[in-house]
Amino acid sequence: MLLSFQETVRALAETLVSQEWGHDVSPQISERVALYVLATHARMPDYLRVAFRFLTLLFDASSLLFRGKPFHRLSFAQRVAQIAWWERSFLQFAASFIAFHRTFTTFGFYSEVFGRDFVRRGRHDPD
Amino acid sequence: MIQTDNVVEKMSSDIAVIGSGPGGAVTATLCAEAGHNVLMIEEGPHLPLDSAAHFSHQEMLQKYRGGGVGLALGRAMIAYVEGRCVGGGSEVNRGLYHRTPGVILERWRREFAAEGLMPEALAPHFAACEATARVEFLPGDAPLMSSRLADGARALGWEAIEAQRLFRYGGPSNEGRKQSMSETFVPRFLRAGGRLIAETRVSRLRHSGGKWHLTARRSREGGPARQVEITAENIFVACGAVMTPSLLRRSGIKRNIGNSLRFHPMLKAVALFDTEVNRSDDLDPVHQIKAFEPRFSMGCSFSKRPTLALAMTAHPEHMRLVESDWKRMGIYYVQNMSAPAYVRNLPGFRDPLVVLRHDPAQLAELAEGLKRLCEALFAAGAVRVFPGVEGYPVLHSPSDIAKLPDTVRGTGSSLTSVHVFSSCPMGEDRSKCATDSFGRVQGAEGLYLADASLLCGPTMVNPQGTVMAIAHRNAMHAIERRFH
Ligand SMILES: Cc1cc2nc3c(=O)[nH]c(=O)nc-3n(C[C@H](O)[C@H](O)[C@H](O)COP(=O)(O)OP(=O)(O)OC[C@H]3O[C@@H](n4cnc5c(N)ncnc54)[C@H](O)[C@@H]3O)c2cc1C
Repeated sequence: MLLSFQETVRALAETLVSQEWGHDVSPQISERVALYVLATHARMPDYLRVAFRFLTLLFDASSLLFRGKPFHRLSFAQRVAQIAWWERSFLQFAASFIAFHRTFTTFGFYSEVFGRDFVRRGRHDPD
Repeated sequence: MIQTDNVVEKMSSDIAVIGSGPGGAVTATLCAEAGHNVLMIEEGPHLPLDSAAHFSHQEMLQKYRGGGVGLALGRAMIAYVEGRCVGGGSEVNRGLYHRTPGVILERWRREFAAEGLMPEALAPHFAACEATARVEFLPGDAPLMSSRLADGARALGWEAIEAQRLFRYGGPSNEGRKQSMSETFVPRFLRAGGRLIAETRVSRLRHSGGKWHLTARRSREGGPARQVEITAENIFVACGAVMTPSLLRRSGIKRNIGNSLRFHPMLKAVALFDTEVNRSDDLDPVHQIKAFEPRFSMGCSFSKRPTLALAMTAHPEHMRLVESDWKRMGIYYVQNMSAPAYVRNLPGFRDPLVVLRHDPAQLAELAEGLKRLCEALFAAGAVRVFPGVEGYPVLHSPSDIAKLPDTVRGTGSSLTSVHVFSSCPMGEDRSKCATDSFGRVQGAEGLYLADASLLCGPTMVNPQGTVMAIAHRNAMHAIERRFH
């Protein structure tokens, strides 16, 4: 089964969004959050980008042994379990990898849903 | 995208200024107004101030270096951000403004033998910069989330102030306009006949035949990248405190370069109040607690729902409060002065590595600062405080503050920073300094530095005013001496 950097980042972002805010979040919002996280990957300092690419593929591959499929092909429940496994790992890099994605997914999600907060309105506009 | 100068394969000028942040923009303007042929070269795009909403994820992608990802590695890591666009950090910052405190200038004179850094000698340079990039106090009352911090401080007998901003208020609801470089010095530079090229990164400097030769690469989004060779008699490097030492070291200039980068590392806490303090039409908060300077200082942060969510990631089980109770919430910070960090280039990579030295005393001081901040927030009427550090408890009353650790732990400590400086300090002490007291690089003819990397140490206060005033002073000094 082929590993995929793009599909893994996408699957990770979509899973974190659904896990946190439920399955009724519109697929367009999930997709835009995933694109934001991918765009951040593409811009980060190059040596970190290399490290993150490697870690992402390792994360995708780490379910092969027990589930026979890469992370991005797992069901939602299996993805949640694997995220929790990495998040609780005693290996610092594994926990930091998930923390990075959680942080940028959270910011991306709230920016998509509450982006209007950034625009200052007139004093008498309703919230 | 705003149109900038035509870029051709070979370009030349009397003076090249690399980087268009506060240091570069002020320097380039003075040189152009003195009648020199000046080319300012900026790696990032030239965008209007409002091309993206302030602090939005779009702004991070458009105007921040690394999409907002910067990391100083070490036992305690710092996640830091810098601007990368015409105007540099001034485009993305909040423009909180101070002149350099006298105690800081006195320390720089004493420890680095930096000449001419008396408050009265710098005053005309501050005033000259403030005449173009205007600074103002908030008109009328400050937002409650801001004034509450000051109320809490005063209840404890601590000094608190309202800071000015690089901002011109006005308009129907005082929305005003930030006084970033793209709104102030860059237009002044262009009016004086200066040329600006954006989306062009200088990768190396070489001196031969009495001139500087710059190798640069122009890469526009969607277009092919191409090489540009630039020749100039004098150059000012103003790429910011991380990228300036990276460029110099890549060019073989290494004496006291990139060994002493400093930060204002910051810890945040979110306070939940008993009443509404945060409204969608509020202006940016401006209050700061001064009582503990120079050890640490405190203030308020931009607190809209997306940034509140970011500040609450250490408490995921309470994240939903951001949706239900954001009007009762505000983000606050405490910051102090970091240990020195190194800036080094890695073979085969374009971006520099930043490695922070470990300083347990500084981390303990910051932990104490966090406790003091929580005290002020409870005194201000907070009913819960969420320290922005993973694993820290939610505080329900002042007595819970004792549960906070006495030091900040290593990697998961949630330290962030928006202030970087001092990687190439100025002064006459040749054992520590990269340049003389006026930014001229030791042993390199016609090479000057003109940004935050020159500052001898942390400013304690928001640094942009200092960066501009020092750049103004040094540019005038170089022009008066005809660059000799
Ligand atoms: C989010 C944020 C909030 C802040 N808040 C405040 C505040 O409220 N008040 C305050 O006083 N300060 C604040 N600051 C700090 C302030 O913005 C900086 O101190 C100031 O911008 C530093 O100016 P500079 O000229 O040294 O560098 P920068 O502003 O970093 O500018 C350097 C420029 O050089 C360009 N560059 C880098 N390398 C190259 C290269 N090789 N070739 C061409 N161009 C290059 C960069 O893209 C950048 O645009 C904040 C900063 C940030 C990021």
